Amino acid sequence: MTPFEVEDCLSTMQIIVDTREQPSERAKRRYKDFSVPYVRQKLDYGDYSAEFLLNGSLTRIKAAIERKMDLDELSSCFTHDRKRFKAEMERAAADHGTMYLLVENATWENLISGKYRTRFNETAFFHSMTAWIARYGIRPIFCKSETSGKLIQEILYRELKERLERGDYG
Amino acid sequence: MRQFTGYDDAKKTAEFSAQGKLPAGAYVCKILNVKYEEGKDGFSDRIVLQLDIAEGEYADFYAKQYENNPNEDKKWKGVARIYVPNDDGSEKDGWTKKRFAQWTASFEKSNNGFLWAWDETKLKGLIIGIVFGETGTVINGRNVVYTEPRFPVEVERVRQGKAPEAKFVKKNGYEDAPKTSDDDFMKIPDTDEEAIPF
Repeated sequence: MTPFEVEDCLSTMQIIVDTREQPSERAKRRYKDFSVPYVRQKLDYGDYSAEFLLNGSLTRIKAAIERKMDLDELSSCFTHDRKRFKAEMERAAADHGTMYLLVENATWENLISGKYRTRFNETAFFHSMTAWIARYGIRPIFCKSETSGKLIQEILYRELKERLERGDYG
Repeated sequence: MRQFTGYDDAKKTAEFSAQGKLPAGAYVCKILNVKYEEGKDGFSDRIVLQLDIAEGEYADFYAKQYENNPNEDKKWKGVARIYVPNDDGSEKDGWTKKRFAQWTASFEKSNNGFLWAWDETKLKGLIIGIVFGETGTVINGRNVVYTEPRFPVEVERVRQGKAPEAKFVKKNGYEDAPKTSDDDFMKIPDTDEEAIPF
């Protein structure tokens, strides 16, 4: 793909928001930080992905971002909702998709020292996270909630650009 | 010895810096991509030609420059813009019409069988002679000289060395101050690209 074709494809990028992502006030603020259009569609994995026009057809990239609002929500993914969360990671892996785990209002330090409100043991939490990074290739990103929108767009843009430049789409 | 990390990137950066700017002069160029941009804030529509040098010592100059540019969001620097007349009867528009026709005539004379039929997409893949000139401007308080496409000519005039030269143009309070380093006269920062009319 020439630099001009890459530029053309990038100019058509839009973000896909999974239909299960609740349209809360915080979500609306997040969407306001997008400088590209977004559409709500069902995603097989992750809460956010992206699509672009390739030879006149909308093409979805094999990368997604799973967003968690804090360490409490993330801890439940490794406990009560473990089966569902594991199935989602496996769908991403089966699709050869890159999966980011964006955790708002969180840091590694707070996770390791147990600074969250659930009773999930901090050592077990830490080991689950690192094991899943190794097992499913997930890419954890911790940030403040007000940074989420910008990060989501930037990550998806870079994923698309890299894939276009390395020739994934011809 | 063992290769250190980051060597490949450092080498690209060094090559990018060493490449320098395209010398002023006439070149046979190939049109690689064409875009149509609608004018904003009262400015004319523009046909944007993304091009490269097709022949001679500087063939593929912009491709090499693009390849060696270490910036993440690098832009293709070989760009010429044809302003589209508004057809409003003004004196300025009359000049725009003459320049527009100069481009189309040069394309027709440079490409056997090509006739301009009001479809700018058909310019892709054609060759044309372009005279590049130097422009001096001030960016971030520093004098910078860059080379930009000025006007079209037919390719045979370039090949025969009969193309006219372009004058040095000064903008934004540019002075002929002594340069502090070669880089001052070599590279336009990518972030300032929009301020550069080529």
